[in-house]
Amino acid sequence: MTAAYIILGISLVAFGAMAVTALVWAARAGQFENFKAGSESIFDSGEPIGEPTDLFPDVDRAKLAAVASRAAKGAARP
Amino acid sequence: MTDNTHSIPAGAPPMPPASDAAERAAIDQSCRRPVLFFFGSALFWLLAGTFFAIVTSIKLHDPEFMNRAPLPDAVRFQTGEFLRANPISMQDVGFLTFGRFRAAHLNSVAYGWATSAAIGVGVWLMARLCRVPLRRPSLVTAAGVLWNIGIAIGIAAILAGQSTSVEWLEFPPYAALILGTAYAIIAIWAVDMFASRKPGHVYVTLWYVLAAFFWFPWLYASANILILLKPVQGSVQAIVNWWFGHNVLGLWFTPIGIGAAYYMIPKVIGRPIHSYYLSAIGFWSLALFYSWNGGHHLIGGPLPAWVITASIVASVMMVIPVVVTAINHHMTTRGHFHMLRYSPTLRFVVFGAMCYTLVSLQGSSMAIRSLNEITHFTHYTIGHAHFGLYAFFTMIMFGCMYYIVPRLCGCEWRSAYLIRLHFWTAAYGIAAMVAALTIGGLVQGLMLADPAKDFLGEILAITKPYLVGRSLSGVLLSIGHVVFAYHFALMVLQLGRREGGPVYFNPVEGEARP
Ligand code: HEM
Ligand code: HEM
Repeated sequence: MTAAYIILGISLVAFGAMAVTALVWAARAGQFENFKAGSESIFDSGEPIGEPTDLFPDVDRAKLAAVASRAAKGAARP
Repeated sequence: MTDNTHSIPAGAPPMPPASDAAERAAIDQSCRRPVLFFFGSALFWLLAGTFFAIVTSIKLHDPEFMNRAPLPDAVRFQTGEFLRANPISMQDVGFLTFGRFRAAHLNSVAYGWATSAAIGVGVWLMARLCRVPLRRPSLVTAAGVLWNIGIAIGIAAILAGQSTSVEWLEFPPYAALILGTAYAIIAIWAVDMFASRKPGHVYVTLWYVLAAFFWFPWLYASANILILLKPVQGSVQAIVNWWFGHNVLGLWFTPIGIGAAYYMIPKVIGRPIHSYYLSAIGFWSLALFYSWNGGHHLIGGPLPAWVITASIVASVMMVIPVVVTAINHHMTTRGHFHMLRYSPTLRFVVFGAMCYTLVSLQGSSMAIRSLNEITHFTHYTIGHAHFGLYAFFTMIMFGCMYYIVPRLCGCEWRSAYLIRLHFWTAAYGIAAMVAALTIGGLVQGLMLADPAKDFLGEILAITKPYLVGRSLSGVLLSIGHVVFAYHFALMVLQLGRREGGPVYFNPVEGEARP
C-alpha cells in the first residue's frame, strides 16, 4: 500500500521533474531566444510565407489568388 | 506558378536534396510505407469501432437488439417447426452483450483508430521537423504490425469475456504486453530520430510530438504494472486508473492533436504562428499541470479530499494553456478564414482546434464539484468524451491525413465532392451527437438528483429520444467514415488524380520557381 503511494508519488514528481529539466535545457539551448525565426522555421524557399499549401482538388487557383489578395487588403470576404 | 502534370512516381528512390522542395519530397517519401501502414490500419479500426459503436448505441435504447443468435442447426432441427419460427429458438450470446461491445468500441477507437492515426501523424511530423529522412522506416512498420496484432488480440479477448474491467485498460495483460512493446519501439525510435535531427530551432510541434511519444509508454507501462501485474488495492487502484485514463487523453492525444494544429494551420495558410511566445507557454503549462488532473474523474468517490481538490485546481488551471492555444490559433487564422472554403486540411483542423477550446473549457467546468454532482454518471460525460475524442482529436487527424496522404502517395485526392461529403457528415454528425448527449445528460442528471422521480418510469423514458438521436448521428458519422476509407483506398491504390489541381508536393514545381 505504502509502496503504491511511493510509486505514484515518484511518478508524479518524476513527471514534473522531467518537464522542468526539459524546460531548463530548452532555455539553455537558446530555444527561447528568437521567437520570430522560430515561428518561421517551418517555411523555406520551396514553401514560402504567403503561399497556401493545401487546396481542394477542384479549386481554381487564379480565383483563389484573387480572393487572397482581396482578403489581404482587408476588403470584404467572399 | 503553373499547373504541373508531373508527379512523383510512386516508390521512386528519394531524389538528391537539390532544393528545399526536393529535400522535403525526399523526407515525405521516406515516411511512405510506415505512415501509410499506420493510417490504413487506423481506418480499419475506425470502421470496426464504428460498427461496435452503432450496435452499442442501439442497445441503449433497444436492449433486445442483437442480443440473440439462432440456435445451432443441430439443436434447431430437434426443436421442430414451431420453435424454429419462435424467439425461443434463439439463444443469448455473451459476446454480443452491451458490456463487451462497449469495451470493444472504446478500445478499438481509442487504441486502434486514434492512437494509430496519432502515431502515423507523429512519425511524419517528426521527420519533417527534424528535417531528416525517416530513420529505420522498417522498424517503425514492424512496430505498427506488432501494435495491430496487440489490438486484434485485445479486442478478441474483450469479446470473449476476458476484459480486465478496468476502464481504458480493458485489454488483458498478454495483449497489453504486445502493445507496450510495440509502443516502446516507437518511443526509442523517436528519441533516436530527435537526436539525429538537423541542427537548428526545435519547432513547437516537435516539442509536443516528442513529449507525447515519450509520455505514453511511461503511462501505459506504469498503469499496467500497478493495476494488472502487481495490483494496488482499494481506492489507490482508482487513483492509478484515472491518473492513467486522464493522462492518455491529456498527455497523449492532446499534445499530438495540438502539436499537429500548430504545424498545419500556419503551414496550410502560409503564415507563421501568431505568437510563438504564447505557444511556448501553452506547451510548458500543459506539461506541468496536466498530470495532476486525473482525480477529477473521481469527484465524489471515496478518496482523500485533498487528492480531488488538487486535481480540481489543476483542472481549472488548464484554462491557461487552453486559452493561450485558442488565442494563438485564432489569431493565426484571422484574415484567412476564406481559406476554410478552399483547403480540406484547414477545414478539419480549424474545426478540431476550435473544439479543443470548447471541450476543455467544458471540462474545466465539469471538474467543479457542484456541476459534477449533476453530470457525473450521465450521458453528459459521454457527450464530453466524444466532443474531445471526435470533434477535437479525430477531426484534426482527418485534416492531417488529407494533407499527408497525397504527399506520400504522389497523387492528389480523387474527388473534392467526397471530401466535402466527409466533412459535412462528420461536422453535423458530431454536433448532433454532442448536443443530444449534453442536453439529454443534463435532463437525466437533474432528474436523478431528485429522489421523487421514478427511475424506470420517468427518467429512462425521458432520455430515450436523446439516445435515439445519438444512434442517428452515429449513422451520419459512419457514412463519413466509409466515404473516407474508400477515398483513402483509392489513394493507396494509386488511383488519385495525377494532373490538374494544386500539386504543391511536386518538387519539380518547386525547382521551377525563381
Ligand atoms: C459512429 C460514431 C460513434 C458512436 C455512435 C459512438 C457511440 C458510443 C456509445 C454508445 C458509447 C457508450 C456510452 C455509454 O456507456 O453510455 C461510447 C463510448 C465511448 N466512445 Fe464512442 N461512438 C462513436 C464514435 C467514437 C469515436 C470515433 C471515438 C474516439 C475517437 C469514440 C470514443 C468513445 C469513448 C472514449 C467512449 C467512452 C466514454 C466514457 O466512458 O465516458 N467514439 N460511444
Ligand atoms: C483541460 C481540459 C479538460 C478538462 C479539465 C476535462 C475534464 C474532464 C472531467 C472532469 C471529466 C470527468 C467527468 C465525469 O466522469 O464526471 C472528463 C471526462 C472525459 N474527458 Fe475531459 N476534460 C478536458 C479535456 C478533454 C480533452 C481535450 C479530451 C479529448 C481528447 C477529453 C476527453 C474526455 C473523455 C474521453 C472523458 C471520459 C472518460 C471516461 O469516463 O471514460 N477531455 N473530462
